[in-house]
Parts: sequence; C-alpha cells; structure tokens
Amino acid sequence: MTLVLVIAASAVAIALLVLLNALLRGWTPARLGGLEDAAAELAAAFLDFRPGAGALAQDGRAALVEDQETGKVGLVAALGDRFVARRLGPEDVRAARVGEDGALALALADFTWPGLRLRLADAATARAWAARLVGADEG
Amino acid sequence: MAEPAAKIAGFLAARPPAPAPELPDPILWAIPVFVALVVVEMVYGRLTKRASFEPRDSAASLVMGLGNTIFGALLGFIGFGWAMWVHQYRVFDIGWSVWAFALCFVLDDFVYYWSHRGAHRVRWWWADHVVHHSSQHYNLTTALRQPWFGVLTLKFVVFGSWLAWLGFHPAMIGFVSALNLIYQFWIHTEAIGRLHPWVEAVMNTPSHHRVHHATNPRYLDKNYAGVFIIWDRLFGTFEAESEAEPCRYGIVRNLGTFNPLTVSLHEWWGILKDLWTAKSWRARALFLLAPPGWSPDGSRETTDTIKARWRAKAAEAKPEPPKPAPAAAE
Repeated sequence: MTLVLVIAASAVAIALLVLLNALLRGWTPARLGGLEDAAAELAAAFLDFRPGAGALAQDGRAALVEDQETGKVGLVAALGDRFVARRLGPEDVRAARVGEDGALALALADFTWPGLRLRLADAATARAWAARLVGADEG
Repeated sequence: MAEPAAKIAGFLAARPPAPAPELPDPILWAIPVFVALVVVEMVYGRLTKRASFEPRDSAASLVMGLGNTIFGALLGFIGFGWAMWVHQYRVFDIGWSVWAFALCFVLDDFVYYWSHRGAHRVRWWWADHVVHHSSQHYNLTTALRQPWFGVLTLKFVVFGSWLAWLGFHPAMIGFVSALNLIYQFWIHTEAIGRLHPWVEAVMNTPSHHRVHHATNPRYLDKNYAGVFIIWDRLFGTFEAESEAEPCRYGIVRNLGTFNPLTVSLHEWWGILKDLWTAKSWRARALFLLAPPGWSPDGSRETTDTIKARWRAKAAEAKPEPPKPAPAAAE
C-alpha cells in the first residue's frame, strides 16, 4: 500500500515539476548560427573531425558536414536545447530520400535516433547529400 | 590436529543472521526533500542562469527515477536475499552499535567506489549505469535519472557480498547505502561552485561530480567517488574541475531521444546486436566484459582511445620549447 502511495505521489510530483519547468521557461531551443557552429559541435564530439563542405538546414536546427579525415558525413541536429552529433557512413544510413517538398528524410540505423528531416537550401542540394549519405556518389 | 579442522568447519558453518531492528527507509523520507530542492534549483536557475532545465529532459530523468523506485521495490529482494545468504557465513558478528553504522558507511562507500568504477569499465555493467549519464543536462533531476534493471546485471554478487561476509547485517548495509545515495543527490548541480578547500579535499562535491559527468577527454573516467573523494585521490582517478575547460555533459555518443524506454534499453540493445554479429566466442565475451566501445577490429572508440588521441593532439599543439641560440662564432 505504501509503495502504491509513493508511486502515485511521485507521478503527481513529476507532472507538477515538468509543468513548472515548462512555465518557468528559461531554455532556448538549440540553433546553429552557421556551418562554423556545426563544425565546432562535430569537432567537440569527434576529436579528429576535419570539416569540409557542409549544408545547413534552413531552420538552423541541423547540419551536414563532410569529414575529410574519414570521408564520412558529420550530422549535427538539435535535441531540445542541446545538440546530438553522429559521423555517418553508408552503413549507418538506412535510407536518405528527398520528398516532393524538397526536404531530406534520413532513416538511421540508430536505436536512439531513428531519423530526422532536414530542409536544406533546395532540393538539388538535398539530393546531392542524400546520394553522398548512402554512398551512391562513390567511385 | 582436530582443533584447527573443527575451527575451519565452524568458520564455514552457516549461522542464522542475528535479529535486525526495524530500520526506516531513508529514501522514502528523502523524496519530498528531493522534490522541494528540484523546485528551488529550477527557480534559482531561472533567476540566475546558473542551472539549466529542459522540460522533456527533466521529464525523462524523473520518469527514470520513478521506474527505478518501482523496479527496486519489485526486484530488491534478490540483492537483499543474496546478502542474507552470504551473511550466514560471516566472519564477525559486528552488531548494531553507532560505531558499526559509521564503519559500515565508510566501507560501503569504499565498495561503492569500486562498484562504480566497474560500472564504467565493464560494458555489461555500463549498459545499466549509462542511463544515469545519458542526459546532456546536469541538474538535480539528473541525480534521479537511474536505471531500472540494475539487479539483473548481478553486480551485487561481486560488490554486494563483502560487507555482509565481514559481518555487517544486510539491513544495516541497505540503510547506509541509502544514505550514500541521498548524499549524492545534492552534488548533481551547476548551481554550487567550489566549497571550502578542506571540504573539496575529503568529500565528493558538485565540482568533483561535474567532472565525473563530463565527456571532455580530460574528464573521462574520473571521480568515481560516492561520498568521500579520497578514494579517487588514493587510487589515481581524481581530476579537478578546471575553469579553462567547462564540462560538456552526457555520454560520448549522446542519445537522440527523450523516450525513457529507449534510454533504459539502448546499450542492452547494442550488446545484443554485437553478440549476434560477433564472429567468435572471444569477441562475444569481450563485447560483454571489455570497456564500453571495445570492438574486435578497434574501429570503435573507448574512453582510453579517446584520451590517447586527445593527449596526442595536445602534444602536437604544444609549441616546441625555444632552441638555445647557437653560440656566436668567435
């Protein structure tokens, strides 16, 4: 009985704390100011990352940057007020498709990050990065 | 000749545990205090910007904490039952004096240090402990982000036996372990800077524990202490927080989700995939027991390889000392 009471009271307390957190605000959704920011995030995540060409999402919430060290593609994307970074080879990408709206839809072989959509500068840019991500532009 | 044999037989014989007094569960009493302090830190963080919270991250951490309480209540009997069984073969009858509690608290913290170190260096145990490190925030809700399936790692067999075998009653061990966990709650904050040097020298503090939660190569695998930082100082794992290098919190490969179930299971899923695709039994064993990030071909990164690369990079970046000027030709 005590345990049920503790669980019920804890659930109510959690809801109230999250509500308080939301009402207080005080956090800012993460946003990249430019490709330099994206490269800096990737360099912090991967010590040997050497940034090459890149593409920034229109909303600044994600970017793709080539890694000249490994030939892979660095992906950095906002999650709340922080960023998550990956270095993607073709084996890490299940699918990379460009939709009719020109957005690049990425499906990742990643248990904690199944995928995301990036709206890059235009559909042609999106298609070029899609090909690169699945390794179709190699050789 | 018969006497030593009889002594050994007596030593090995099972003895029922002495009756234990009714001890309160300190964690149940602490929960309202935890909630109140989270509220204080949220408001203080909003006013001063010295603490940061994000609602989905906070929700994930708090739900992980609730899950830990539920699974602890459902499965806690396994670890306690094991300790009771071991306690039958105890060396001493230590009893219930205040000094016994105090000694048990210190020794439990020593065991905690090694258990925690093991949790970072053995992937099987890391799969459980990674949950606690998986937030990119460092606030009091992070303290509550705890795993759900700890008992299933059987870590208690390795680390939960010693004190019970020595003669501390499992109820006493459970009590002081709870106090240890309660102590660790308040150190999960950025709102408190450094304390008096004497406190920083002996106790685990917010500053020391920030280092432990940081992923900067300099800080990886440091400051495993629970209550007393002296264990890290003694065993070579201490690193002081540097103002020149602000902590970046989280894990080497940060999660792309706030879903508590995914947070809870992600490393177990990674282990399963690796076991399934491994080409030898040696590789399977090492996927379980080697440090997180180990792979047969070395293509993944462990904290050791990250630190080695960081050291090499730092050495490269260091300017060469000026060469002595050549002696002037006479």
